[in-house]
Amino acid sequence: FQQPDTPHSTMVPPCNNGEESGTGGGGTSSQLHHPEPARQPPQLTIAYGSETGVAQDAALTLYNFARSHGLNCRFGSLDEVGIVALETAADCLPSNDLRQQLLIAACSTTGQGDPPANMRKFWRLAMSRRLTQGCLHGNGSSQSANNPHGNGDSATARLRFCLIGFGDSSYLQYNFVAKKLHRRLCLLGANSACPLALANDQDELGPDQAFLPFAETVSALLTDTFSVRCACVGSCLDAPLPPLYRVEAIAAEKSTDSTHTTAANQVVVVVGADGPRLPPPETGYQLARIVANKRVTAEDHFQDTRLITLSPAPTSAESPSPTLWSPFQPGDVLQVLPSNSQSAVSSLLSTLSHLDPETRLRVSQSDPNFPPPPDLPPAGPTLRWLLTNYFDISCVPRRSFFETLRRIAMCIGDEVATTTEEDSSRLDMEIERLGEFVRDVDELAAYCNRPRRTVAETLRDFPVSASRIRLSRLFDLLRPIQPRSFSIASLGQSGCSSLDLLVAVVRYKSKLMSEPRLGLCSNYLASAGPGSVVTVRLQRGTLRVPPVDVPLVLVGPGTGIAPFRGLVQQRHGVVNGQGDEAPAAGSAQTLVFFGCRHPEKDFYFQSDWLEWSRLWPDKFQLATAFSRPTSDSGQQTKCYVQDRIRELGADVAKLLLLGGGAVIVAGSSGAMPREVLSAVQAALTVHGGFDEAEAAGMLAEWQRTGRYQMETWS
Amino acid sequence: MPAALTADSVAMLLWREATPESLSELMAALTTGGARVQLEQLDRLLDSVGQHPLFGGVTDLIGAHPLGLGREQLGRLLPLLRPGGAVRLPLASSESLEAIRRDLTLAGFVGVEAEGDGMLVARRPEYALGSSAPLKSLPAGPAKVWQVSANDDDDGLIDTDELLTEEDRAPPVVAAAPSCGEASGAAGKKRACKNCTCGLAEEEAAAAAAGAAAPAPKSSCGNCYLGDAFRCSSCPYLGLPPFKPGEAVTIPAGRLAADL
Repeated sequence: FQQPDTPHSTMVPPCNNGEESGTGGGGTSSQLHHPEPARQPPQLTIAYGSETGVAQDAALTLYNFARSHGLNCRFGSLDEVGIVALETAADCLPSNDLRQQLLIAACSTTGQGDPPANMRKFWRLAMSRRLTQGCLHGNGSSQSANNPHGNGDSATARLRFCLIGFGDSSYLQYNFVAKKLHRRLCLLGANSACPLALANDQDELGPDQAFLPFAETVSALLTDTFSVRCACVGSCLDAPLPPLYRVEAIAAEKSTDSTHTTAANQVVVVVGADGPRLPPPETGYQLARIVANKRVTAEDHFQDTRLITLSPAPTSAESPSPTLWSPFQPGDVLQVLPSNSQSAVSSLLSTLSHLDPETRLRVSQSDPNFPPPPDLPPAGPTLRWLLTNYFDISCVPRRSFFETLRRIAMCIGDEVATTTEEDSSRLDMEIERLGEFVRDVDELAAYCNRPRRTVAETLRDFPVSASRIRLSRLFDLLRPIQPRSFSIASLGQSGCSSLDLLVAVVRYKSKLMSEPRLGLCSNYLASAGPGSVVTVRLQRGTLRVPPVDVPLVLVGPGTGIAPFRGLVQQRHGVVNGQGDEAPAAGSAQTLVFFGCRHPEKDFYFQSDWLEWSRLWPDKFQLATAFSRPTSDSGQQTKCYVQDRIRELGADVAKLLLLGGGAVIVAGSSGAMPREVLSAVQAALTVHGGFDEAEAAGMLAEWQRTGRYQMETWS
Repeated sequence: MPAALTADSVAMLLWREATPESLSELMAALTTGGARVQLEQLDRLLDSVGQHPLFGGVTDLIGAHPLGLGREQLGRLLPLLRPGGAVRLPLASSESLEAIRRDLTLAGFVGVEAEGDGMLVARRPEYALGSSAPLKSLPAGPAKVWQVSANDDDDGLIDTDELLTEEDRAPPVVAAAPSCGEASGAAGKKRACKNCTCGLAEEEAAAAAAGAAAPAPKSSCGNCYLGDAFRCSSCPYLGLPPFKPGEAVTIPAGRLAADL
């Protein structure tokens, strides 16, 4: 394990085994625990499959434990580092590495029980038919009859692993990825060094409730496996950690960032000569220009929803500008990388007044597992650029944030900073409180999670600790902004010059906090006027669109209707916005359920639906539900989509049972999908002649086979 | 002696008390065709069925000798089998065929039949929970079975849904989360802050000694200016940033109004 040679480092490795562990060759220390002579310690890999960064953060916590004990280890996504470990263990690689592989992994479940994007290749390998049962076992490919419980022997198995899944039990496919992976690895003959841990967003204390015990188990396992001799056990809160990157100020000309405000009070976001954050082309990200940004809800309606139209933008003056989007299908999404608001950035800069916002920085590699981020401006980012475009300062800080801030406040591993006398007692108070948040999940939940307190607001409460944040520790403390996905609301299967997004601007009051909570990406897009350049990526959605001759029941209250706008057009013959009088031959019926508050306030795409009902009366039907109608809307009582589904149960049952139709539900997660499922079940029961248990069973099977799909977001 | 199993069988030989010789004789007979047979002591197996790596994949469960299994134990063994997999149980002369047949059926097995020399054979049904039932009052219509699996365009991958057991699919038991941040702060706890000047700390200490519940907190506290991380749970400034030195301490208009 190579300690970086930082000029101000006063680090001393806390444990006396920096050379012994994990560097191959029989370590003398391992003889204390293993009777076999000169037994090589395993090759350690810590990996994650993460969609929103939660599993990645958990894996990083485990990596920090390994680092603080001088353990040599590979770290990265399962696609980056897990594949090598699995292939080596399964002898798929012609390598001489005969060491046992020890894999610690955190993986979440996304979509409809699918693996996150950064573990898809790993998943395809793990689930591949060419891996035969027992291939990871180590005693040849057959399981020994003397080992009745079948879990690969811990000493001889080629792969040992510890797995934690991150999921949300309000979804049917709760933690399916981790459950499937765990069983598959065991069947292949790997040794599961600890029981499968399942972290659940719905747990009383959130994912930490399952993660913290798991981290303890992993720490004990690593301590034992690598014969770590260390005074501290568990998470080693006080052990010094080298910074993830080397960050230095460059003595070059300072940058000028600018934001222009147009007369219409819409901000054209231009981030100066440095440009917005743009990951390299192989990630699929590209720049897009906002063509239109129109409010589609009534001005006096409480919800501000925008229809935002985007076109591809040239990446640089030299390269030819792509004027068309790559072809996309209904159900596909556009990921957007937002930036932080100017006011949030200014407020945080004043908390970090000891750092110069305009000095350019060079960020270079310090840890073998962390190549420098590829999406920083080539001339070197400034602190202002990083806080605006790179670091997420509006997210709710996690436990690891408090651990790191505490280390920073105590100057662990860095040269000690001086404080004034009055600050000194405040600093002690802050350090103590930070420690309490690290140790007590309930305190942390009350302080951060329940009020939805942001990183910026938290640093405001800890000014002395914040004043000790050095440039070198910025990347340890703050996390990059994660993209947000929006279902594309327009057609584009044969290439088009613009696409539409339907974006509800998130703004609400949380209990306790005086400032309202703002959704980062929705407010970013809302304030980006025509001409603004944003960083986006087309992504294939998790929806599988049925063939055009399958009848469809589409349920999309609120912004859930967005993916259906393109879907309906495509099915019935509209190509890229040009209407067709005759519906496409062979297209089956589509029944759309749409719900909103009021027909004159938030009836999204109303003119489109009316036009299509007129064009294709036999094929397309829209059923509406208004939850806050007034007396002149023709509907007297409050009505939701599930009520309309029950009302039209006969039609629904006919489409599904007689016609072999499918159901797609899109919109907010929570009560709505449950209510809709219950309403469809009622339709099948009342009008389909099934009893409740049979209907429930059918719907469960349909969800498994993709005949009933849900695309929900929180 | 039982007949040899086919080469692609995945079998378990269950025993409770037996001699090693008799077991190896049975194993030899079963594996002459190249089948995989795993020896399992019945009681240990019953304790840990759910974690067994062959869960849901066994084609044949064979009893080495009369095992005296009850309905509940048979029910626990059922999920080990693949749908369509078979169980073969030797019967003791004292056991009634009808009683065991009834137990097997109630446990979920189908096709219970007696084979020669006191063996009973039964199968796990082919269908799994939730598969389609025949349509009753409506005609079946064109058999449009439109299906998509998660492994749609993935040739060469196993069907990952087969990896899940019924237990995996069942929703977990979750304690309800407490309601989010009431004005009193964390889930009903009313803590005194450090350097407490309002007397709550003394009251709490006295209450703890006397075993009584803590009385209602007062609103004055020495730490309001520090920020939410240090404010006590009854502080009127909760949700506001820390005060800058010299800033007038005022409660913004509207904060004093009741929430309801």
